[in-house]
Amino acid sequence: MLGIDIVYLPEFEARMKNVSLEKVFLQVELSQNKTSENLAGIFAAKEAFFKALGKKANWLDVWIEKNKFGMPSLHSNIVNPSYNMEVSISHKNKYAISVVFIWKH
Amino acid sequence: METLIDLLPLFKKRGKKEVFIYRTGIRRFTFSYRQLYDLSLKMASYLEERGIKKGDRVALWAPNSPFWAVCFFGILLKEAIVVPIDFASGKQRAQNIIRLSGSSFVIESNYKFEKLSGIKSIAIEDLDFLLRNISSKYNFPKPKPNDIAEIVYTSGTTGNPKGVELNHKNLVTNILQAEHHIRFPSRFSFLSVLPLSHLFEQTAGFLTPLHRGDKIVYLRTIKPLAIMEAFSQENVAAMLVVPRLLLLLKNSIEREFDSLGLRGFLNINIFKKILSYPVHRKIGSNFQMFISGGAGLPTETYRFWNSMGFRVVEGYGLTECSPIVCANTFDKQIPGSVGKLVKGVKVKVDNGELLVKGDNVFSGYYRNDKETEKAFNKDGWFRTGDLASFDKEGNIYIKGRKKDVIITPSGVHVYPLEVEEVLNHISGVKESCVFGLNRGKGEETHAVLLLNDPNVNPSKIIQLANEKLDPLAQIEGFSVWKDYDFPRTTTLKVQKFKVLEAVSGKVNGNDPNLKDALVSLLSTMSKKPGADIRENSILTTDLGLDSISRLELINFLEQEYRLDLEDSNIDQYTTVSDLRRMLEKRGDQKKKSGLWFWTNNKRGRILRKFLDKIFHIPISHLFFDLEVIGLSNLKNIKPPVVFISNHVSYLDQPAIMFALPSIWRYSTASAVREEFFFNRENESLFHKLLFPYTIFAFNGFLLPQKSGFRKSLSFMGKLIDNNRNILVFPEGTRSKNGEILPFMHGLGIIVKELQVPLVTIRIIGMEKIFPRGKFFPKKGKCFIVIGKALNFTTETPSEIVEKSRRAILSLGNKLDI
Repeated sequence: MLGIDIVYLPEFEARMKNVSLEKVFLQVELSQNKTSENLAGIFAAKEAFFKALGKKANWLDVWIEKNKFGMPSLHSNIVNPSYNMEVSISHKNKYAISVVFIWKH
Repeated sequence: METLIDLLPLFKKRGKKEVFIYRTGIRRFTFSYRQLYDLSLKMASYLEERGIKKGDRVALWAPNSPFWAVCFFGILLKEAIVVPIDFASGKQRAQNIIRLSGSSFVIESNYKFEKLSGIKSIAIEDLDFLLRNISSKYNFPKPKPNDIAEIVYTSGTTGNPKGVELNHKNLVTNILQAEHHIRFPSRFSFLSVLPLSHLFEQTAGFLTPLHRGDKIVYLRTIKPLAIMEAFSQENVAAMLVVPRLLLLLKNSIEREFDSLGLRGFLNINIFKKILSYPVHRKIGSNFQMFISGGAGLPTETYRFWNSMGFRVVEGYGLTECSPIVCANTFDKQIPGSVGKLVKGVKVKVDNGELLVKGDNVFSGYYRNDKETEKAFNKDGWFRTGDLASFDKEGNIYIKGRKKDVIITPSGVHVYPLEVEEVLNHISGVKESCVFGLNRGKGEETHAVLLLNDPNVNPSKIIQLANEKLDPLAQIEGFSVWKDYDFPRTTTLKVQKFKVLEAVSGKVNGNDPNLKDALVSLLSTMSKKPGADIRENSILTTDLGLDSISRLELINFLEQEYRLDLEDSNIDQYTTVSDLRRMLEKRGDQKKKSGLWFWTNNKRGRILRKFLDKIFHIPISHLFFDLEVIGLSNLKNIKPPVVFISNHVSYLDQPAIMFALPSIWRYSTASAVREEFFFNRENESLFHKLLFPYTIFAFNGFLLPQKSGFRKSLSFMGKLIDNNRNILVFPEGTRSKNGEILPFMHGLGIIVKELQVPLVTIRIIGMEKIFPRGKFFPKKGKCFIVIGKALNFTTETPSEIVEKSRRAILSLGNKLDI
């Protein structure tokens, strides 16, 4: 199952101003992603995940962790661990885009 | 008490007494006075390590929390100067304040997008772990009362805010004045929701309670639902409010009555008294008063609360006065008046304007001699800029304002000239006129536009302006001036009062289809007219609401209708009528959650002890012989903990329970997969009956695997807060042959939110007794191995899952079976 999402940074920043971040991002995501660009990428990844899953769930039910090289990994408590999940995020100018692939062995 | 540092020995002396309660929405953390003392000293040492010197300015841009207090006192102990910045402010304003104050260090928060650049910083959320390894030995400084303790910048403006210099003497004076004046009887617990960066909350809701030895409750997320829960669960006695907050709570209550069809009764006095009972119950029987400040309290709002039997004590002050000048008292409140002067403050009225003198009045603006000079008259009296009058008893009434500033119901100062400047630079605007429009709910920032081009969209202009303005200083309403020009004086100055008069009379041109608040909101979000929004319109495909809109919508529902995120299941199929139904059925959201706490209380325990003794334990002997290894590990562990174990059989949970000593057994609740009982393909009567039995007899609680587990997480937090342990099977399902399956990712989140140790357990042998696929158990020997406790600090959720899985794997290797 595949999902992709793109976020336009200025719009994202403007609209997120009135929302408390902890509704969308977990503590680990907020401490690993300090800029709005990075958080936009994380948001895109979450939305891509929902598309791959085929269901719009709670943003806190899926999260991205980054290893020391900045490589993201996708985790969720609503997906059986027997499924594999892959994520990739990219940034260019004022856009962030992410693609998510979920599959079973 | 001469300086704020003198508060510290008081904290030390109070020892274990509770000072802060921090509610995260999942856990309830408590802090003692002694902990506040120790942490403040550690913070001072940390700041020293980071090179902060005496007199340095340290900015604090973080939400209210116990660690805000730690930072505050830590900075003062280092003899540096606190520069608090409103957390709701945008980066531009924060950057300006940093620049103007010359701050060399900032304590920020991860909960804000925008981080400051070009300055040494740290996230306040990291302090908990950072300070653990720092010694709390510190040499107490001896500041002088005249030493500057903090610089507080006047609110609302993005331009050049003025930095009010407050020394220890100013603040200490006002603390004692507040305490003496309002005179709360006995010990109080305060709910603190107004920003600590604002002096009103700082003096009356923070420093004064700390001086008295009271308790303060902080919330991680400030939303109406969390506020109402805190009221009743924490026995809150008082809360500081700004008029807007009282209005929001009033609306919330009125909506609640609306949904019950009782709204009309609120207006009839006799019924109002009856209806006030559930409100009092919700807010708690311990509640004594709202203390209102920051802006004038509209009479309508005051009357609503007063007639419901709630005490509302209004006061008046300015940052420059630390801040309280006068206030009503606990015993007597006069509607419309801001009460009598606090002790030691002298006032006089000059041409209608209120002038103040006293030890709580500041000495000047930081590095701004020009403004400082303007602020005082030649005899050294401070000009408040407000017009006031006295009555015979000495009660003060604020009549109006001399200075050209709008004070919103949230107590924010907005400068019309600045807003006009921003508007005038937007293409399509010839000129603008900004003022505060009061329609009974306080002043709304209203902009009247004179357009260059009649085809330009005014909403778009306002939107662009608001993007440039600080989040706190937004334009809330607007109108378009139809005439050729604004009314002017002979010197061509715009006659604002005439414009105001003309606009006040009119109502914003309303689309008749927008009378419904929900349709109105959806119309704004989708940019479609009310007529296009039908009951069966799908939010995503028909109205074009994107993912961020979904978030904004959920946010709005949470704020305005106190709807919990979990309950508002807005997905790609939701229609307008689905949404409406969600709002209407708010009250009946108590679906079968399978989360009952009483099974953990005495009655539940007695029931289980009984069932275990006469039924479960004897039967278990028919199926397995237990051998427990590693019980000694439990001796060194302090509850509460989370037990995790591998999973092979339905008999796992009873086996583990009977292996644990009675004291652990009866204080542990077990997580059960929700999907086992509900939403099965082959749901049968057996499963329907098994559910309540599992909950009562085995102290189970539901943990969903396919849907969000926030509610269960909250429940787990409650268990931990009450010193109960939890048993979880992270594999989420029974393994076929005892091989350890991958763990569910949610375990990492559970550990991070609950912040308790993990104790690993390995079950060996059960895969031969009652494995997956078999219908009847075959008697055999079963080993329960209890491992050591795992403590986690800064690991990521997946690191936690990885480490705990390895720990369970290694537990099995230790045995030669």
